[in-house]
Amino acid sequence: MNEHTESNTDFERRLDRLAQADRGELDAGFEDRVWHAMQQPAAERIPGRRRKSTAWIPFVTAACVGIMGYIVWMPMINVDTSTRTDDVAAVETENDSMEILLSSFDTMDLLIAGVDEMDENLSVIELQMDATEVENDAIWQDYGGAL
Amino acid sequence: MNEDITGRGIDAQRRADEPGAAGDLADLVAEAAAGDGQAWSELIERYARRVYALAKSRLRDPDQAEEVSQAVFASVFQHVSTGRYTERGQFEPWLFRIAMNRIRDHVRRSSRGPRMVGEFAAPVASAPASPLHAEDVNELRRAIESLSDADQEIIGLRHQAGMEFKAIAEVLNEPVGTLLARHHRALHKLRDLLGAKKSAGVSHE
Repeated sequence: MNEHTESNTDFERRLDRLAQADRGELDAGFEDRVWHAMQQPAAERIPGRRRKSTAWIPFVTAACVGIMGYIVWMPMINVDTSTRTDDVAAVETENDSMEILLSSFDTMDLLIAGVDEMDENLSVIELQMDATEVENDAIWQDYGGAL
Repeated sequence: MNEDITGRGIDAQRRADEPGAAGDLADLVAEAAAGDGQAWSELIERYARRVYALAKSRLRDPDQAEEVSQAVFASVFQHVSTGRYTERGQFEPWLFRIAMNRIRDHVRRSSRGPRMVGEFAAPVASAPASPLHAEDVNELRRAIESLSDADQEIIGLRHQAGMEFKAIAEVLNEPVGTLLARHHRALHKLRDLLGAKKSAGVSHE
C-alpha cells in the first residue's frame, strides 16, 4: 500500500514538473499579449468568432413554399374530378386562383343541391318510421285490450 | 502592461496558494472591477500561465493554447469590468470554468477538421524542467492523451492548472470524493500505460 501511495506521489510530481515545463516555455511577453488582447474590442480580438447563424434560411424558405403550395393547390383536392371534368380541365390549363375559386363555388352549389335532396329523402324515411311506430302502437294496444 | 509582471506566473500561483490568499483575491477582483490596471496585471500574472498550461495539455498546440488563454481573459475582463460577475469567493473556479468551456469548444471544432492524433501526432517540443527529460515528457504526454476526456480533464485541472480538489469540484460540478477517486484511477492508468511501454521496450531490447 505504501509503495502504491509513494508511486502515486512520484507520479504527481512528474505531472507537476510537466505543468511547470509548459508554463515555463512561454516567453516573457505572454502576459503583455494577454493584457492587450483582452482590451481589444471583441470583433477584432477573435477573428473566428461565431456569427449569427443563417441555417434557418433554407427551412423558412421551404416552409414558405409549402404554405404557398397548400394555398394554391388545396382547393383542387375538393373538386370532384369524375363528374366535373370540364371545370377541372379548365383549372388545370389556366392555373388561375380565380378560376379555382369559381369552380369551388360551383362545387359548393352542387353540394348544397345534394343536401336538399338528402333532406327530402330523410323526411320520407322519418315519415315511414312514424308510420311504423303508429302501427306498432296499435298492435300493442290490441295486445293490451286482449289481456 | 508593465514589464515587471512578465514571466512570473509560477511564483504568482505559489503566492495565490498561500493562506489568506482567498481574501486577497477577493480584494484584487474588486479592484479590477473598479478599473485598477495593476489589479488586472496581478490577476493575469497569477492565472494566465496556468490557463495556458491547461489549454496546452488538451489542445497540444502552443498557438491554440495561447489563443484560448487570451480569449478566456478577454471574457473575464468583459464580465468583471461590466459588473456581470459578482465576487463571492468563486473567482478561480469561475475563471477555470470559462477556460474549460473554451477548451472544449476548441477540441470540438478541431475534431471536425483533419488532424493527427495518438501515436502519429508530432511530439510538441518544450523546455522541460530538470530532471524531466524531453523523451519522458513526450512519453508522459502521449500517455495522458490516451486517457479518456474526463480523466484528462481532472489531470489537467489538478496539475496543469494547479487547482485544489475543492475548486475542481466547483468547476466540474461534481463531488470532491468522486474527483479524488477519478484522479486516483487516472494516475493508476497512467502508471500502467507507462509501465507497459517500458516493459515492452525492455522485451524488444
